[in-house]
Amino acid sequence: MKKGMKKVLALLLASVMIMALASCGGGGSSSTEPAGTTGAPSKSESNQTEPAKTEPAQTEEGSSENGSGETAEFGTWQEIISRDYSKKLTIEYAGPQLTDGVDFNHGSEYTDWWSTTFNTEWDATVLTFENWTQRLNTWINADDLPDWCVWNFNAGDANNYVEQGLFRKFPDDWKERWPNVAASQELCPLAKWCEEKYGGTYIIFRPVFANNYPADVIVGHMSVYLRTDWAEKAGYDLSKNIASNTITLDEFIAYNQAVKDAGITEYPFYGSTSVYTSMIDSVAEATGTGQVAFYKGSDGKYHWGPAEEETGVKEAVRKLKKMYDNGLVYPDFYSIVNYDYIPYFNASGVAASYAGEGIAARGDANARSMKENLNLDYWKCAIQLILVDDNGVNHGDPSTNYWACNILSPDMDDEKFERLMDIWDFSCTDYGQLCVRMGVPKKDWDYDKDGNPVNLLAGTPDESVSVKYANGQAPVIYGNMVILSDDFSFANPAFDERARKRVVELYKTRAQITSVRGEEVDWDFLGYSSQALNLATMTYGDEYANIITKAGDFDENYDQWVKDKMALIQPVLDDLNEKFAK
Amino acid sequence: MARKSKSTEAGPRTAANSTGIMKTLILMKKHWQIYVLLAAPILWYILFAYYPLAGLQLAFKTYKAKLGIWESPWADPLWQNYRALFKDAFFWRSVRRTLLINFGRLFIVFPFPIILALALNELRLKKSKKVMQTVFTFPHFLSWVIVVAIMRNLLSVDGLVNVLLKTSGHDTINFLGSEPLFQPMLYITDIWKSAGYSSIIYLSAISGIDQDQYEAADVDGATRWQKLIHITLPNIMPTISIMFILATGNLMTNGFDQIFNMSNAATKNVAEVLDMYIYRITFQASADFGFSTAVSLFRSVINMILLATANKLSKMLGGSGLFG
Repeated sequence: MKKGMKKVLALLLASVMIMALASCGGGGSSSTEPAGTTGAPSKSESNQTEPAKTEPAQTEEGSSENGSGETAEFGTWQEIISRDYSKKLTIEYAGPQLTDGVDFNHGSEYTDWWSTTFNTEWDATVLTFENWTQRLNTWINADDLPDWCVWNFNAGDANNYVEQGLFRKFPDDWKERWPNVAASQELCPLAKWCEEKYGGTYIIFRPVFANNYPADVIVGHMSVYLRTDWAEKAGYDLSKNIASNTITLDEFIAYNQAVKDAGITEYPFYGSTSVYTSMIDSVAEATGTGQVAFYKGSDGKYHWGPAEEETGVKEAVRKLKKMYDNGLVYPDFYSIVNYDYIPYFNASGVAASYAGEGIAARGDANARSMKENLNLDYWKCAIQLILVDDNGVNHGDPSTNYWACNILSPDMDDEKFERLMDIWDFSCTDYGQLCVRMGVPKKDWDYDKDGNPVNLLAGTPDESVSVKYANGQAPVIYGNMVILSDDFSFANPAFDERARKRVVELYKTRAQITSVRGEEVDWDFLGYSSQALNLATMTYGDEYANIITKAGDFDENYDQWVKDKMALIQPVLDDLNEKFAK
Repeated sequence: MARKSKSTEAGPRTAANSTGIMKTLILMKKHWQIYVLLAAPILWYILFAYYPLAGLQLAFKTYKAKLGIWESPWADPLWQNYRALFKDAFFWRSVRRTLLINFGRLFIVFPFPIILALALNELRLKKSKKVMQTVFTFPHFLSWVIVVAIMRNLLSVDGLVNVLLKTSGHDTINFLGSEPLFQPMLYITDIWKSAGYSSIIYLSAISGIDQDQYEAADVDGATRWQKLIHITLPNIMPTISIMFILATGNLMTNGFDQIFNMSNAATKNVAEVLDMYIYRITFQASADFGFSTAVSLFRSVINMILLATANKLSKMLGGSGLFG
């Protein structure tokens, strides 16, 4: 009996192991099944087969719409949401900037409104900036893309992927069918270039600016945030900087040194590796961080930015090294990830921050956080400035007015494609933008009698859409569908008016002090790809951080680094010069 | 004539073979539970170790996702990926660094589980032996992500160790961003994490030693140290040899998880071993799976050569080999 029992147990154990193995192997095949086609619809799903219509709202112009039964004009928001969405669809999505564990479909009134209006749900995969490129590369090369992905555009790869048919080609008449998305692509010169090069549309770029384009020639909005009260306490005079709206790297270092010397804080400046590289990017050319590292010099030949004195890269790194050596920065800065450095300034209290996402949103968030955590009035104790080189010039990547792009799986169903395009098209209307940025119409925002949007959350405990739908509910997927949030930052009534005025002021200054190179795009280089370039690809931020933290003589270390890298860089330069040099 | 004798010999051999097969089948039937248990690992090896070997052809191909591994075109010339690889100075540096770190592991980390097993074996109290064994084995079950997170909390500039140093009037030490400290920290964390678990195999070898030898030594008045040196150690030497040979076969592999999690921008130069190089060229640049496979195949071939050499050397020196 005992022996028999043992046999049965052994058999059971073996079966469990084999089943476990089989189920591991089987996962891939089930995931390739079109989303939304498996399983019977739940009760809640069956209740949502009819699209929920918004209450009759006012148009952007403030007049009543559809009340008379007239058909709305094609391509207007009213017409888009009145289309037939009776079939519930689930679309796969993968991209960064989302919070894991959030219900992107019905987790809040905001997501619920969108899901119900378009009768569409998202099967979302949350990516981080650390795994974003890696995951996308793997999926694309395995021909296993989710329906919709946000991709960090790379022209060399795009050539290869489009040629292999790994991205979905948009139908020839897509611009007529979804005119608002088409209009958004007019804002991005790269979209036209790609369309011509690839013989059709495969990629939808996400414009940074729309109505306010070109607010900034280089479409960069990193800013320095300083404590004016601490400057005063430390006896450092910021008046010249406040008057010019700018600060040089030397002045920035001097300010931090003064604060440290006054004993106000141990490490005045906190930032991640990407923050340091953004600073290098603002004061030098062809840095390889935000900007490409290869450029065509006045001699008509290609050069590698970090190796050339004229670009200012070496000097910028030298200055940051000085900051590090003088104990002005948090020594383990390379271990800070994502935006984790921001609370050091607005919640813990350090002397300086360098941040940029969201322009007016950052100033607004700083003000709220400083009030809540430090009981300080941001508008009285801090200032936002532009970082410039010694000649007062702010540098950046040649503008193509986009940040990342949307790519679609070639295996995506047509009806899902059309639904997604409808949602994108709606989001690109003025009304759609208000729904994206300000929340549920009539509940979170409405038009006033003059037709201007009003934040209905003002004065309530929620204050704004970002507070009401905190913890990753806003902007979720909708916030970065096509047009990015930056543009609305200028007009968003949910932000403190002082924050909006400040960024407008700074953008006026930026327009005057931006590097001329910012207007030029090297289309030859943009379309270039080779195995040599692949091998020469490096994370410049990590490279610079390594030099900054390295012990010993800076010049020696930097020159040795350049010498080492030239073994990989030279074949690229040779190739570029052979193909494109004058 | 020769043909005739061959045919006459074939008969008994076939009969012997079929008897052998029959015997095996009978044995299998008798011990079927064992074979059922063996099915899962065999299946695992076929699916995840042998079947993917077909993908190695990518090392000589230009990978096209739509065409897949089999249909992708052959590289032109066939050794194109290797030509680019062997020209890359950073590849050779990563090979050198890999070997340097792993030779260090072989001579610094490898002995620790043996020493630990010998020490645990000498514990008199059975209960304390079990407690100690559990304590030493536990870290093995923590992932490297957790281990490195603990390490950061302890060793960062505002971590426990530096706070203690600072409060006691000493200078702080940049543990996490120091290139010279990176390799020692690899070994220390590796020993902490794996020594306990790796010692199990030696403890098991020790438990198999004939107790008569110890009794005879006791009669002869041998001390514990003498018994350890002259009985325990020689008896577990075959196990040590096999483990050493297997470790040699991994000289070109570093344990990606540990280095990936421990490295950062400040230590990247000393952390780019072959595994990190493969990761970088595969995922941080434009993905070129053919090139990545070429590097991986190169690494496997070198590992295989090292394994065979170590096996041969072990046999030549009179020790045990992998196959007896």
